[in-house]
Amino acid sequence: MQGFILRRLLFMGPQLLGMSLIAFVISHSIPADPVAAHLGQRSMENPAIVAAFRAEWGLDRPLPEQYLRYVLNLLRGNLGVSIRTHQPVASDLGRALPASAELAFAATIASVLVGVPFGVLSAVRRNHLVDHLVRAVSLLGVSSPVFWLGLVSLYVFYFRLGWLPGPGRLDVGMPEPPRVTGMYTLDSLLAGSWGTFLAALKHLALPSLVLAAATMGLLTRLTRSSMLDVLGAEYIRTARGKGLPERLVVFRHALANALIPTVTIVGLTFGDILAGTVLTETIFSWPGVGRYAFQSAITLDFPAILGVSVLIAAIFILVNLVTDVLYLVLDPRLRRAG
Amino acid sequence: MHRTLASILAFLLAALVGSAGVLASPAAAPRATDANTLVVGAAFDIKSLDPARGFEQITSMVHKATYDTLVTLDEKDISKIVPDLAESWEVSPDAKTFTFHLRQNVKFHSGNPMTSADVKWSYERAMGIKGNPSFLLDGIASVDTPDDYTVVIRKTDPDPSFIAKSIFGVFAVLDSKTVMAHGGTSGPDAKDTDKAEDWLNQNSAGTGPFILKKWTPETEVEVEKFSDYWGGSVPFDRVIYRNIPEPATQKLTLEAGDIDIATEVSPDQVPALKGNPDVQVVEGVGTDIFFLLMNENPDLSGGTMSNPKVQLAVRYALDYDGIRKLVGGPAVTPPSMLPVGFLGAYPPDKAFTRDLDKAKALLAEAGYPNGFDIQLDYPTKFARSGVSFDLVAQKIQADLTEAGIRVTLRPGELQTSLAEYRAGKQAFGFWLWGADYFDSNDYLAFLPEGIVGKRANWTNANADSTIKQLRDQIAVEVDNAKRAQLWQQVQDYLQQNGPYAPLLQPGAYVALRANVQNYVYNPAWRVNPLILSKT
Repeated sequence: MQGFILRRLLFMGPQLLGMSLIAFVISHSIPADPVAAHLGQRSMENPAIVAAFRAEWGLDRPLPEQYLRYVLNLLRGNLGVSIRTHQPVASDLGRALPASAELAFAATIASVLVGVPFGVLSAVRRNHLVDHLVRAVSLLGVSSPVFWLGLVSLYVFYFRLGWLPGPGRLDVGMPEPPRVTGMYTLDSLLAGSWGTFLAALKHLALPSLVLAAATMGLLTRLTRSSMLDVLGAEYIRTARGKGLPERLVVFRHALANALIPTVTIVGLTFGDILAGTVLTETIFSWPGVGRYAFQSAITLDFPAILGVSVLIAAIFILVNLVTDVLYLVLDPRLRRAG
Repeated sequence: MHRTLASILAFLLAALVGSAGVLASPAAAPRATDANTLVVGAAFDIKSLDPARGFEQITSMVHKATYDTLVTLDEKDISKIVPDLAESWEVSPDAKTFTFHLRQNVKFHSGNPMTSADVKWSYERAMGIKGNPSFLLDGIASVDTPDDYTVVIRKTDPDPSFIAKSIFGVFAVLDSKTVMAHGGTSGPDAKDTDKAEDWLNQNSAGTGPFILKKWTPETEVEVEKFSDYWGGSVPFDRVIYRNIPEPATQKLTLEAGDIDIATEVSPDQVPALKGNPDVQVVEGVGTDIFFLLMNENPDLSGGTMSNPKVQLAVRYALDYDGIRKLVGGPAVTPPSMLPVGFLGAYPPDKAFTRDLDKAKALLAEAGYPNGFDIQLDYPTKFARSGVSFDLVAQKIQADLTEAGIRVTLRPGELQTSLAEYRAGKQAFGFWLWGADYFDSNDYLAFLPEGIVGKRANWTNANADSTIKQLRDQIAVEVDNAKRAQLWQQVQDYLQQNGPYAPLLQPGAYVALRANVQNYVYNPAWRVNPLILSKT
């Protein structure tokens, strides 16, 4: 197991380097000039301002030199400075990533806690009323456009009912908790500020539930079909034949096996949420990785584009690694082979 | 199967009843913001709060609260300049020398007194850093300070619009001693030596009514009251600018009472907002002009768009009323390439109205009795001032096709299409121009050899002498009455000739809680907390 993990981690370096090269080539192939995205309509026609801008951002160097400098800095842990925000890309991402991570964790936990049990219930009570209800709701969750769901839920739960606060990660004017992880819920707990913790949690609720709606639906359906498959297997009939209580059959024998495809999906959706949910982040004023990536792309902010690409690649590589390790844990057959 | 159907129906019924209940319930009691705090909802585009570097919309809004300039715009009338840190000023007859007399006893946020040395230092810093807004200081030959309260600015060329330019944040007067203490430098090599940006992003070294307390990027800017403000009492203890990029979300937070002012309001939201007694909607006329560009280079269009009769035909063929209705709001059709409201600009009743017969006749005269085909370039998935390019382009296509000009749409990603447009490669383009400063001379950009003129390949070589002479006279004319006259002649000329068809000057809306008093829409900063109050 250790060797497996180590090998994967070692391979990550070249993978990320390759990612940076691809991102660099693609973003520089676009027939557009970042000058136009960052300077006003008059400044972009002013040669002195344009020259100063290019010199400041190293855009006047030949492309291979720009890439080389980028990689050398990257190896030293320096992701450069964002042309759009004027901040180091590392600090921009250091803010955006924890914001997205909070959303991703909350949404994933919610969708697993709801999706899996309901999927099991649905499979076990197949074709009963419960099953039909669960399938109807999960269909709605999967089919609702996230943009629509976000606005509607804000309208209902924030504006009409007043149960949850509005957009943003904290209340208006509320100072951030002292930074440890960048995730406001954790940091405020660590600092002991209850007020901030509650506010952060309440602000987290709506956007993560909106994101979870689709995943929940997906997980329910997947768990259900997976369970149905497993419950129809020979060894389950054997277990029942031996007179085992149904509870043990389902939870001890069937569930672990049924969960394997679920684990894959959970990993992928976690990565997805972490990497890019621009619409949800825009509606809820949540300054996460998705919005950052989007804004970097449309303004041709090369250092930020490269930084985000490398980060997202790293996220997916790690998520896939964790998923694969979970497989090994869940399925002993793979352990012998791996 | 009917069991599934039955359960889906049962679920839908329950959902319907539930939502009817929720919708029928009154909105939750609005939270009011604190009486001493003003909360402004905005779509953040801030790159830098350093006045020498930042030039974005929200940056200008924040700078209005934290910095002052020598002169500023009248809140209601953008063609009027009023005193700010300068009590009075003189312009030499040749429009090259500008003398300002400063107020005395003005304090910076640090407590340091303001003198002419600070003005000189700030201007030379802005010029040296060569940031985005530095073009407004182009052509300044020298900044002299004959005494502590007099500043004399000399320009190499006549510039009748210099006073209008100097209202912008790049002309903010900074506390030179404090900024220097934090790494600020001034002079021609400031772009390499100045290190004060980080400090200025979290602190203000100005004379304005509010002091910058904190900028949390992508989230909030918080400013607090400056008790020694030279202009008198300051109506709020704090102002918070909150980043809410989605207009629909801004509307919800305004109605819920979590913000006092929403600055991103689209025309389709207005009827609902007007129906809410807790909210007021203020209309203003913006300064953006949306227009069609018809390239004078015949090779690009095969000779169609460069033909003056075709250009006039296009101006006659457009359904201006329909375009205004499509966009909604207090939009107007500008008679020419000068926004309504500017010095010398014609009022909207002199704008073109559609005349399809005339358009077809002109096309026949031009040699196209059966019309012709042409592509229209424009930026896709891009909107400004509530105008969606994708939407209006389709209307333009429909209008022109009725006259016989068979338009195919060629939408392009903003940066890509912009690059072509700037390079003068688009035969027929749909674009916009935002006012760089609120003076008519900005619109010299549309005349031959101007920034937009060049994009239409309208040069000294192919332009006729009438328009070239008008252009050269305007550049040096100081007297406002004469300037107005000259601009009227330009508008007359452009209506009959030239590569442009002005489409639209959209309006702007701002929505506020009903208890916010004295709000006036101003396109330069949109929100000035100093003039507001909450009952």
